[in-house]
Amino acid sequence: MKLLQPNVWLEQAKSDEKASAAKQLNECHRRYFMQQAYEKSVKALGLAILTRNQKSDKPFASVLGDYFLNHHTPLTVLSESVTDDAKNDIKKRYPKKHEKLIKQLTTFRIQLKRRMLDKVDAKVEGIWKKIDATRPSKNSSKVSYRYPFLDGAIEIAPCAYNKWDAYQGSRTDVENAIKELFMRAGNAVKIAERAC
Amino acid sequence: MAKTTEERENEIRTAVQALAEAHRKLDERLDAVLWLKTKTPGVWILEVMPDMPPDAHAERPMEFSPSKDFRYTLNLLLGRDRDFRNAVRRNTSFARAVAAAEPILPHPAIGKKLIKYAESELQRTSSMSCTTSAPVRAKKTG
Repeated sequence: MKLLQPNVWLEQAKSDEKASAAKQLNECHRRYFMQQAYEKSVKALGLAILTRNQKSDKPFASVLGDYFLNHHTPLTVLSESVTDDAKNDIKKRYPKKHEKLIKQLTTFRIQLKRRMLDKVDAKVEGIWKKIDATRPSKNSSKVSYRYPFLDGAIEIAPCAYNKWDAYQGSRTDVENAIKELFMRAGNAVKIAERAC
Repeated sequence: MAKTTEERENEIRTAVQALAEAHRKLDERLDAVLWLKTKTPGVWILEVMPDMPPDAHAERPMEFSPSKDFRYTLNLLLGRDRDFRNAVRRNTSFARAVAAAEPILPHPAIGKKLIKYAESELQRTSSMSCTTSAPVRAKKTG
């Protein structure tokens, strides 16, 4: 059975990766497209490892949205779901099911991490971590993809930052890291579709 | 030619061992891995992880779709040793599955202890059910 959402994300991720190759882009915009390719692939992989039963579990689907799917930094936010603040938030919203939900989220986080990191090159892993940890921000003192690129009518000056290679890795290394993720996510989607 | 039960079990064992080894290399504390032999579909793996959140129902697995190297649906039980022990005390069929489990990691001391605990708990409950079972009611004689 075809898995709709993971396939859509993977297609979009591949388009973003293609867009990142355009010559006329400022580097931060290029990195933004790369970040989008990364983010959508991780989400496709995350959804593909869950079975249909897990996805139709409404409370779990809701916390999965809050702590994974609805964020530009999916793995970083998922890791933060183990903090006391996050646990209290889940407890407040689901007083009778919070313990189960926290456990489900933790198990999902560990399993996703394992599926991503199994037999992966340390350099690739390092690049994924750096991409995941870079959040969009208008604060000019922070390294960011400057998304959105406009603050009101004023274009934010992303071009000033020219240390992307040192920060996340060279463009080629980042491209390779993203392609590795495409492969992992693509395999996970195919296998999940066969198992459906 | 169709595979024998033993051949199939050996295949699954190899896959479970590879999976456990891959899990051990990650930066999450992992004390034991048990392969639970149940008749329920999928492969059931119990992992004792001391940093997991408390769980009143540690016997309930989370199901994951197969992966490239692990071609079986994975029923994964992650939890703390004490939560699994509580579950063993509460749930006889889970206790049976743990008692019949195979420890997977190369240094499975904690896993073996959990198996022993499940065995002793099963013995305790079966001896209790012998001594505390309700006596047969005498027939009414009118």
